[in-house]
Amino acid sequence: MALSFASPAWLAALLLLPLLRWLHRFREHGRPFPVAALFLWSAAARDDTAGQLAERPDPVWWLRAALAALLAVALAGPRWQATQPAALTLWIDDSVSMHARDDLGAARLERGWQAALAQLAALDATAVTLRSLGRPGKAEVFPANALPPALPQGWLVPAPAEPEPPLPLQMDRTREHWLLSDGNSAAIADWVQQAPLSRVLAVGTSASNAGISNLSLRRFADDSSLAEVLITVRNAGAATDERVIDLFYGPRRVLSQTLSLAPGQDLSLHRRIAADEPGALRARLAPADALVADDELVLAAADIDRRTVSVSGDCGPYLPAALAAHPWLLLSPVDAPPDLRVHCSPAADAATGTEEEAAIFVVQDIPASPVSGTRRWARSAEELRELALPGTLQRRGAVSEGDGWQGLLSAGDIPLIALAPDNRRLHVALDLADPRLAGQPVYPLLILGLVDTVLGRDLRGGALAAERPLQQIDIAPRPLPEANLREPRATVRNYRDLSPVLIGCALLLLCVDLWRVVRRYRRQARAVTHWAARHAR
Amino acid sequence: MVEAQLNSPEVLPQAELARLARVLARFLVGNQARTSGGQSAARIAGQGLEFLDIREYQPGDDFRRINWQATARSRRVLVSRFSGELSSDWQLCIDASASMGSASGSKWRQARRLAQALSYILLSLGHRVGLVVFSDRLEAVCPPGRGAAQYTLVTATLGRHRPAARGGGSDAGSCAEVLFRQQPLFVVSDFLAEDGMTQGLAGLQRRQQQLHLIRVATPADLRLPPAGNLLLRDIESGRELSCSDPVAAQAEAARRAEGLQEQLSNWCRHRRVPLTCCDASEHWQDVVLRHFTSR
Repeated sequence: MALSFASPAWLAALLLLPLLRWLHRFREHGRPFPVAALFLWSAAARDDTAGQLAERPDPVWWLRAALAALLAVALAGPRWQATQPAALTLWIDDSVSMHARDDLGAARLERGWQAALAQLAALDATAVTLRSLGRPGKAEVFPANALPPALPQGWLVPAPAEPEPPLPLQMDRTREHWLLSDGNSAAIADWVQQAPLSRVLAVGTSASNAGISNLSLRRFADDSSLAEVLITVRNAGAATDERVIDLFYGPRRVLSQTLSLAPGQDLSLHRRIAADEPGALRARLAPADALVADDELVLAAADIDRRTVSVSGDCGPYLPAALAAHPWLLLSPVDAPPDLRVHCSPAADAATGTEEEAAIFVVQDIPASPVSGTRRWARSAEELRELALPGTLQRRGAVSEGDGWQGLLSAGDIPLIALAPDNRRLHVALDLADPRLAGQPVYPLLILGLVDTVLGRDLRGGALAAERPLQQIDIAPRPLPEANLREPRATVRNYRDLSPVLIGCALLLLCVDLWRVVRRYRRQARAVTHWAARHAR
Repeated sequence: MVEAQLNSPEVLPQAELARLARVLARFLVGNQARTSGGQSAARIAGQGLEFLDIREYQPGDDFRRINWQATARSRRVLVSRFSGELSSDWQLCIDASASMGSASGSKWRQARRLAQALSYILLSLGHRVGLVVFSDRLEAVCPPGRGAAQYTLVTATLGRHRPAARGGGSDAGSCAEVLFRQQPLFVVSDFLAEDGMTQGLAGLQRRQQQLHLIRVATPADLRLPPAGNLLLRDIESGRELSCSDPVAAQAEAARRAEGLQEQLSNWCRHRRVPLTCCDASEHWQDVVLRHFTSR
């Protein structure tokens, strides 16, 4: 508890109190009274003494001095300061760069947390709320006396997205706001310029880091058991870095090469590998540098494996050939369980299929007839809408849109391709064995588009890639501005304004003074009235 | 109320006026041939009708007074002179300075009553009566005249004038420019000046045959309200004095007023000027009677 003033300059007005005392030495002007001959009164009256200085001031000056002093002090804004523990929010930049280990020591996030613990220990805080900048909804509250010695595990996972500044509404003015960051994010650095932060815990010293920014695999069209692998390594540091790149396909190391990376260089490596066996493709840089998370990229085995397709029924020669020509599809025997079943059947009831497997049913229950009417793709068939189908199409079946089936392609009001509600089965009424359609370049694209629709994967690109944004490899810390930071406060101060009390006292004194003046004038007026009545003629 | 009293002259009862005139007739007749100081009146040139002598024309003389026969005889321009009718022209000089309006105008009302009474009495005895209202300057002049019409004129003139609320002063000498020489003169005033207006009165006395003073006073001029500090303001000069002890100031003012009265009395005694002092509340008959019978 301490007394302070919001505007102490007003206290200078107290220096004017001697002036007030001096003013009260002036004699009071009396009540004007007209006389017929002033010279008769000259001996008993003072000539022009009104306004002259008296030896002693009017005693009422004490009352008015107290009134003026109270007003001056009230204008200075006196207040009792009551300190109470602060509620604090620690905004944590949990981006990838905050997980870098400077000098191969602890991660920046962990070092920053230790620094925060040291500073929080000196702060009389009630509770500390940790809030994530990378995951806007993530928050955790700890009592000030039960802060964990190490950052909880959930905070040690890099945020999937770049950190974003919090909304102004989240910056509660009644709380202390601290920031733990390395300044790597430009958005955070800009936000600090105008954020109501009282303290910034800046971490990060090293900018040296290299990482794998891209790992891709493409199977050869002529021999889908072979694939070409492309690896891109980036040196985001400011110095040349020598690293060893290892590439594993399943348990087998297929590449080990030492790289010399100039500052800012993106180095790409190509390697042909045999990819006919199941296994994951993993590229790894060694030895470990400041940021381990960007030293490895993996393509999952499930993604690398080719999809098996079984073709049954009277599908003609073109449809199997189109499926067999794609490097990511592998025709399998009919008895083996395939990833996709393609069945060409003249009977409509045989085209229903089961819901467990992806299937394309080519319905052939009517004679071939030209498709007429305006062709229209459904809005959901985004990839297929781009295909330029030939003008002459033959229709061999009839499909319906009932029971939740959705027409992907229709001619007039006749559906030609329908998709099941589970998005894993297709009914096709087009004559896919028509040589006029099969001879068009769009034919394999149409077949692959249908396959992509039921498999839920884009095979038409032909390449499988895992990429890492270049910003996640750049870990260089940047200085955060401190000029506009609020003064760190150990505690939140509650002020009790004393001005109303003083103003109330001043008003009371003013009332006393007014009452005194009014009483005197009323007495005089009463006496004059009585005198005038007594002497009136 | 006071404003109305100041503006409308009081109608004095004519029967009382006539009775008083009869009583005072012998006093005024007896004094008629006297000049100031009690000397017998000599024949003095003036505005009368009785021929006195002939003298040479002087610049400023009335052309109507040129005696053409004597001029033709002597071949010099001669004018006739006539003896003045001294006892038949009375002048009433009434002080209308701001001090006369103090004490709710009681002094002014008393002065007006006295002026009315004197004019009636003098007119009823066959005298010509003129009226001069003055302050520090001439306020109004009513030329001498006779008869009831003159009384009406005097009364109306008094009714049109009243003391100023403030400012001005009392200068009896200002009346001299409109007064004919050697005329008996009444001055009704409060004589509230540091010299008792004796300077102006001395000038009048040198010019006029006979000077009569009636001083109207009121104790209200010497009273202060018992209300702490007072700022005394002279209603004529506007000067101010601060007074913190009204009781002591009243006593001192009373002494000063007595001194002023004594000063004026001495001045009149030395110059044989009849002086009557009256209170503003005193009856006008008593005052007039006292003035003419006390000598």
